[in-house]
Amino acid sequence: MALVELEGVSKTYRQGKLEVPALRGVDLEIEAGEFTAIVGPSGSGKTTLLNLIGCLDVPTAGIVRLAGRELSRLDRNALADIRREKIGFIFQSFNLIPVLTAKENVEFALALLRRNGAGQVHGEQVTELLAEVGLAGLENRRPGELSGGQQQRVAIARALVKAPAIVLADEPTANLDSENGRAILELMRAMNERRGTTFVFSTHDPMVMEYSRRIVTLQDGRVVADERREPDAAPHPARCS
Amino acid sequence: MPLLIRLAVRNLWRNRRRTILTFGAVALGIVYLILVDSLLRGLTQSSIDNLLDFESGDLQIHAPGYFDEREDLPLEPALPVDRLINEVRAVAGVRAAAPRLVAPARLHAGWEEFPVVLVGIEPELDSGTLRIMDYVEGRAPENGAAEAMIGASLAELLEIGTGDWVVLTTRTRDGAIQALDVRVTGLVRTPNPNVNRNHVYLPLNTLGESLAVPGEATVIVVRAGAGESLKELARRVGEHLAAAGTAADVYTWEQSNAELVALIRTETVSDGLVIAIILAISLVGIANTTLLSALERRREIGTMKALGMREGEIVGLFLLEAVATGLLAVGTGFAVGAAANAYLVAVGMDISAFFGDLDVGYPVTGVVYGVWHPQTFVLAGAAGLVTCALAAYLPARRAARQDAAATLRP
Ligand SMILES: Nc1ncnc2c1ncn2[C@@H]1O[C@H](COP(=O)(O)OP(=O)(O)OP(=O)(O)O)[C@@H](O)[C@H]1O
Ligand SMILES: [Mg+2]
Repeated sequence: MALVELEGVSKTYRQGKLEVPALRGVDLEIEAGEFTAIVGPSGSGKTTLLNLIGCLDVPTAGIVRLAGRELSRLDRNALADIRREKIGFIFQSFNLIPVLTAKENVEFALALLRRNGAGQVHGEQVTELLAEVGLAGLENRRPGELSGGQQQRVAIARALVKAPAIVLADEPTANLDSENGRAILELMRAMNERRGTTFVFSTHDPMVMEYSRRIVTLQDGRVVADERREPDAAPHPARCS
Repeated sequence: MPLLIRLAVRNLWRNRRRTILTFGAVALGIVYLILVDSLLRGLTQSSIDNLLDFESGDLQIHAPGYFDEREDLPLEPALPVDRLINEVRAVAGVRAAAPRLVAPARLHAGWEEFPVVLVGIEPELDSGTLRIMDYVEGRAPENGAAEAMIGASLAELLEIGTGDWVVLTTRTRDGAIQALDVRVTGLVRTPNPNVNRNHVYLPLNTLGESLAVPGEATVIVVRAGAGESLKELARRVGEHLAAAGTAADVYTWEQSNAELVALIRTETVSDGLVIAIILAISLVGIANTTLLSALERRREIGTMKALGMREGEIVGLFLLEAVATGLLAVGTGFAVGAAANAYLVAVGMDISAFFGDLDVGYPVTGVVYGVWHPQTFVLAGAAGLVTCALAAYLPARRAARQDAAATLRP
C-alpha cells in the first residue's frame, strides 16, 4: 500500500458562474520515503494537488487516501488531526508565526501534537533540530530578524519536528536566491535520506529537478509525465550548512 | 498550554495601541459604572438618612384615621402625648421617641408671606430622636415661650435673622384663624433642603395651646435600636399600645414615604441601563478588535490550521486574547474606579452644580458622597469579562472557519 494514493482525482473551483478545473482525473501513488517533485507550468494544478494530499482541501471527484485512510470521509476536525500528526508543510513564503521565536515556532508544532497530555515539549530536542538545519545560536530570534533562507530552515525544522509521514513543500525555493535555494534543497535531501521522511514538493526551478528522484509533470490538471531516476543521480552528497 | 498564552499575550502586545484603546474603552465603562453606582447609592443613602434624621424617624405613630389624611396636615385625629410617650419608649427595641404637632401655616415677614409647615417639638425629647437640634444656628425656642426657629433657606429668602419677629397665621382645631407673634431664636441649616426651605419649629406646648390642642401630638416619631427590623418593631409597638388601651397606628418610614421609595426604585432601573451601556461598549470594542486582528492574521490563521490546529482551538486562541484584554480592562477599571471612588467617598461631589436649586425629589443638598459597594465591582468585572468573551466569539469563529487553502495561496 502506497503512502499516498490518488484515484481519478478532480478539483474544480467555482468562481461565480465560472468553473475553473484545476485537476482533471489525476491518478498518482507516492511511496513512503520518496523524494518527489511536481513540476509544470503556472496554473497546471501543483498547489491544488499538494493541498489535496495535505488535507487542506477536498477533491470534487475521486479518492485521496493517506496511509490507507480515505480523506473524503473525514470531518474538519479529523482532517486537522491528520495534518497535526502526519503532515509537515513548507511554504513558498515561509509562513512562520511572527510573534514567536525560531525555537517557539518549532515548539508550536510539537505542542499541538502533545496537546492531549503526554509529556513536556523537549526544549533540547528542538534546539538540536535547529542546529541540524543550521540555525545553532539563532534559536531566540523572531522571523523578522532572520533572512529568507534562515526562515525557511525554521519552517523545515517545524515540519520535521513531529516526525511526519510526509512533508509537502509548495515551491520552497521560489522566494530564495539560487544559493540559498540550493542549500534548502540539500537540507531536505539530507533529511529525506537520514530520516526516511517522504517529501513531495512543487517547483518551477530546474535546479530542484536535479535533486529529485521522481518528477511528476502536470499540465492543465493532468499528469503528463512521471519519471523516476536512480537515487545516485543526485549531484551532491547530502550536506548541511 | 503556556505557549498559547505566550502567543496571545504577544499578539496583544503586537497591536498595543489598539489593545490599549480597546481595554481603555471597556475600563472606562467599568469606571463609569462604579462611580455612577456609587453616587446613586450615596444619593439614596443620604436621602434616606436625611429623611429619617430630620423628618420622619424610623417609625411614625398616628391616631387612627390620620394616615390617610396626612397630606393635609390635619390637627385631628391626634394622640395624647402624656399617656403615650412613655408607653412607646418602654417597648423593647425603641431607642428614642418624640412627639410632634404638625400643622400648615403662613409666615408673614414685612410684606412677604410664605406657606410653611409648623412643627411643635419637645426640644429635649426631639434632640435624642431627630437631629434638628444639632444644626441650629442660635438657640432652640424655650417651652412656653413665643419663640421659633426657622429653616435657614426660608430665613434667607425672606431676609429674616435671629431676633426678628414674625407672624404665623394658621387655624385652630375648631377652624378659627389664629395669628402667632413669635421671635426667631435660631436658624435651622440641615442637609435636608425640605426642612431648610419650609419648616418652622415651635415648642410643643406653645403650639398646642395656640391651636387648641394642648397636650396632643399628630405624630410620635420613633427611632429603632441598631439592627431592629422596622416592620417587626412597628408590630410590637402597635401591640404594646393596644394592650395599654390606646388606639394608635404604627407605620414604617417606607410606608409613610412611598414617593421617595418609588424614586429610589427608578434609579435601580437606570443602574441596569448603565450596565447595558458598558456591555454595548465592550461588545462593539472587542468585536471590532477581534475582527480587525482576524483580518490581519488571515495567513497566520491558515498556517495554524495547516499545522493541525482545530477550528475550535483557533477560536480559543482569540477568546484567550479577548479575555486577556478583558482582564486588563477589569484591572484598570478597578484601579481607576477604586481611586476615583475613594475620592467620592471622602470628598463627595457637589450635585448642586448639576441641579442648582432644582428640587429633583431627593431630600439632599449640596455634596453627595459615594459609598463602597463591592458587589458593583464584582458585577462590573464579570460583565466586562463575559462580554469580552461573547463579543470575540463570532468574529473568531468566522476567522477560524476560513478556507486555509485559500488564505495560504501566495
Ligand atoms: N481558490 C481558487 N478559485 C478559483 N480558481 C482557483 C483557485 N485556486 C486555484 N485556482 C485555479 O486553479 C488552477 C490551478 O491552480 P494552482 O494554484 O493549483 O496552480 P499551480 O500549478 O500551483 O500554479 P503556480 O505555478 O502559479 O503556483 C489555476 O487555473 C488557478 O487559477
Ligand atoms: Mg502553486
